[in-house]
Amino acid sequence: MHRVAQMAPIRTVRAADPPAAERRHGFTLVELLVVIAIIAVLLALLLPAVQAARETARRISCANRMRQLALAAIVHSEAKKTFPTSVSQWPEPPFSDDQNTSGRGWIVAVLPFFEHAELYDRFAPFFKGRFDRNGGLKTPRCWRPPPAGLALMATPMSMLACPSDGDATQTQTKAFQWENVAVTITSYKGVLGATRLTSSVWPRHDDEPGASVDCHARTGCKGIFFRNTYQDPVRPKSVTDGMTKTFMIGEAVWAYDWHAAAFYANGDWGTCSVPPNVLDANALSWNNAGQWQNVQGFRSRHPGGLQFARADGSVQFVSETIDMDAYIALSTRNRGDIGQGP
Amino acid sequence: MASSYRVPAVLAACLVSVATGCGQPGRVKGLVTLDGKPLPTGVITFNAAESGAAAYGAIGPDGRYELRTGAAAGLGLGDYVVTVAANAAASEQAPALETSAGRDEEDGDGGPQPTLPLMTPQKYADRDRTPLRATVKWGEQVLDFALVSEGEAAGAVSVP
Repeated sequence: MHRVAQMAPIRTVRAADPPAAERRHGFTLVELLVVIAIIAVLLALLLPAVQAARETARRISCANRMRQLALAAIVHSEAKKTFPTSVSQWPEPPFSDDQNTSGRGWIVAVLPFFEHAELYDRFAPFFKGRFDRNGGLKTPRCWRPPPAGLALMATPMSMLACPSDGDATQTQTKAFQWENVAVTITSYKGVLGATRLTSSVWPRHDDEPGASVDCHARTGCKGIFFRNTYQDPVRPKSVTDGMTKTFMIGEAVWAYDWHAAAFYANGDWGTCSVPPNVLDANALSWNNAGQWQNVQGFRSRHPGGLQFARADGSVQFVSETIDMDAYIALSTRNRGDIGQGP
Repeated sequence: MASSYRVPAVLAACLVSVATGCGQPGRVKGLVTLDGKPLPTGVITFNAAESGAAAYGAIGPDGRYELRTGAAAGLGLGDYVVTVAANAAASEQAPALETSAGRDEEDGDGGPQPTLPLMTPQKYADRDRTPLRATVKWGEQVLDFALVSEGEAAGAVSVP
């Protein structure tokens, strides 16, 4: 009895002090901050891994699209006995009198080989006339948007856009020779070889690899794609360095190289005289500072390197630390440098 | 207690090193001058003397560069043959047309675009003739290059 009477007041005191009980079951500010800090640290550890996984997915998707394009080019080379050709945008030697320099790029030539025969047929009327005299692809009907719908030059082609480069997924209005015209751009460009352009700032070699300077404006480049291939189409049998030892198609990044109009012969090639992945912020200004001769290399937004499709149709990731001589050797089809390269 | 601080410090150091990546062991930056004045544009390329990747730096408006291999900062250790080339500013010289003999140059917006000539002596752009050499060591280093229009060129001046 005595004990019960003693405990009763204690119970009353507890019941009359609910804030104390609530405080005991809640979190203090410090506890909350500690929990938040722990979660933040865990997220900080997790996020880069998630981002890396997402970029890996984009890179694989990017490689798949490149492989489709490479296979289409190979099917073309089997069906027509030559790799897809480009037609320059103005007459160039030795065909200096040609009046049908339409500027049609090799990507147009492979359209029928990856389920785009209908689009090829729509381009076909524009294979006549000189591009630099508003004929060919520069015929207004080819690039001026109709009252309803899209211009032919702005036809969306997700197959040509690497998902790692967001700029490639939309039309651009600054592409070289397409200023103020919206055109579809390509992330995938043909490999011309390793020829330098006139007054390029990249290193000169006594043995100019892959033919003379500026072969892009003539013929004789040692790669598979350049803008005058229609004059002397590249045949599979001329890939004497071996299909597995020759780059055919590489990746490009729009922001650093505005030569990228997808269907245009001066927008669909690059040279390995420029080192891989030149992504220096100071190089961004070259496009509009009259330094276009320095930009036409291969680049990607993938960390550590870039992808190339070889002439056998395989797509491989090439490290940006690749030996420069090996990189140049892989870009040529007939330089007799089969011993080099990975 | 010192040990209770040491653990987070080590953890933080690990995080920083993971975030920045190991990358290339040599870090090179510096200034390129032509006849004493900073070169406001162009490219400096470190070509491996034996074999290896080419590292490059696009020269900024103040003549300064920082070498990269591909997208990543830095380069491998060893001996390099250095080439430098820069295009003249658009206003300085009459631009030469893209070389292609026998082409009409009358056309308007579809025509050839001008290419700007080099403002640096040709020998510095030539991997087989350039007098510039550099040895890249581990860690950060400053390598300045002084180009001269005529006569002898100065080599790399190392400032630790």
